[in-house]
Amino acid sequence: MLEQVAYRIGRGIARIILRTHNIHAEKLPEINGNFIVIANHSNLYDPAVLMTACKKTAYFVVGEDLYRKRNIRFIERLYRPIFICQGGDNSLAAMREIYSRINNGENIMMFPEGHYSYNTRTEELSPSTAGFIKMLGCTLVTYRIEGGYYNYPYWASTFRNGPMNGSVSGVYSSEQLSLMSDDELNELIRNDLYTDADVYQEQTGYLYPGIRLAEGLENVLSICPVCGNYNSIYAHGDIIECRTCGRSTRYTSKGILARNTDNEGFPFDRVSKWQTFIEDKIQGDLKCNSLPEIKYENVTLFRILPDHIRENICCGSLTVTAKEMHICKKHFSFDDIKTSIVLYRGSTLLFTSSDGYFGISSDRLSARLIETIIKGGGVYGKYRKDY
Amino acid sequence: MFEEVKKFLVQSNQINPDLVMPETAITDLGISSLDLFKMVLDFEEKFNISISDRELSNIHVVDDLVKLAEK
Repeated sequence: MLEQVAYRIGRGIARIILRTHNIHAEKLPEINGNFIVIANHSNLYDPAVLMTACKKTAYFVVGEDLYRKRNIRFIERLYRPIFICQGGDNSLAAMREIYSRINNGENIMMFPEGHYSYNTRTEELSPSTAGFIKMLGCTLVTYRIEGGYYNYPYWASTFRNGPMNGSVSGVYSSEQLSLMSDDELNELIRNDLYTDADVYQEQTGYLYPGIRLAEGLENVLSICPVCGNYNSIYAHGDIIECRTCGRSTRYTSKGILARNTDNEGFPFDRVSKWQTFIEDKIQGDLKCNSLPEIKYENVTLFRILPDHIRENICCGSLTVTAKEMHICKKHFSFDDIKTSIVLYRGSTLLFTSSDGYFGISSDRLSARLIETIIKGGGVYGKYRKDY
Repeated sequence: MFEEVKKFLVQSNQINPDLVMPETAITDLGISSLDLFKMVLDFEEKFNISISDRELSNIHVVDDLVKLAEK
């Protein structure tokens, strides 16, 4: 009863947030029996979008890092979310809790990508998604949220004031789901949730104005495409520039990298294209054994203990090579890293090695760069492909 | 108990029995998270045990399952 009242209050707040932020959320149709809603994840407004869309009380699956945020711990008591270890090596406890709640007739809402969109597009989901949803034996609702990436990109330090739109992609009964193969259902979910923020912005022409639009990009655009230097990009205000070669560009309210008048700028007009260049560059450097040693100062290494407790181990210099990273005399071979996730504007990397569940964090850390090296340099893919 | 767990793993996931050793990582057996989840439900039923969330999070190698079955 308390949870239902709390959900209604939360939903009321969510509706106010959406109204004041130019966000539209299509309501879910009447559904007989309980259901699971899955949606793509673009920014922190997404839970408010789903709450507004869903009148019936439903419980979120959330990252366990929220448990450590004291100012929102009340959510745990009021809403009973299901915590899942992002970057942890198994999600069995969360799966069992979802299964148990659905069997008890409750409704679930989740973002199966597990994190905000990194590169404007909906990411590939685990191949196990379809099998698990069929196993739940409830109605599936697929929900697509568009415009969220540019409204508040995962790397940004400021909100932008642009439109977002949530819509129901499909409603599928358990009987319909049972008639589909896992591959068919995975494909259906992929299509229903897929969005490309660049294409959406180009088609709609929406603007996402705000202040300090480029700040935070230095954590993502970590290699200069002109001089090839690692970690030489610096962002201030709306401007991104390379400290080594001096090239610069301006990030506009359309999300476009516009050429400055005083130099030729960079060869990409979208952040996503620059990110693709970075992934290709790292792959190439790994293949040719030419990846430079990358260093970061003032990086905190911490461990996540059972019951979601964070234990800081040390703060010091982090060195990343093609095969391993080391900090404070502790070495992590990439062969030994099973899963990882980038959080907090690209400045934190959570990962699981055979020694446990760890994190590294710093304001100037390019966590996405390190994750790309881990994926390219270690055996990460072996664990990831079917997990 | 190891032999019993091994038999259970081989039968429920069609794994090559030679791969199943106490120190073998579950992920190295080619078991997906969904298969592992189904297996845990069957495992609880077969061995008549209840596995806590913390124990679930600590299932990494075959021996972890053996210890749970011995509870």
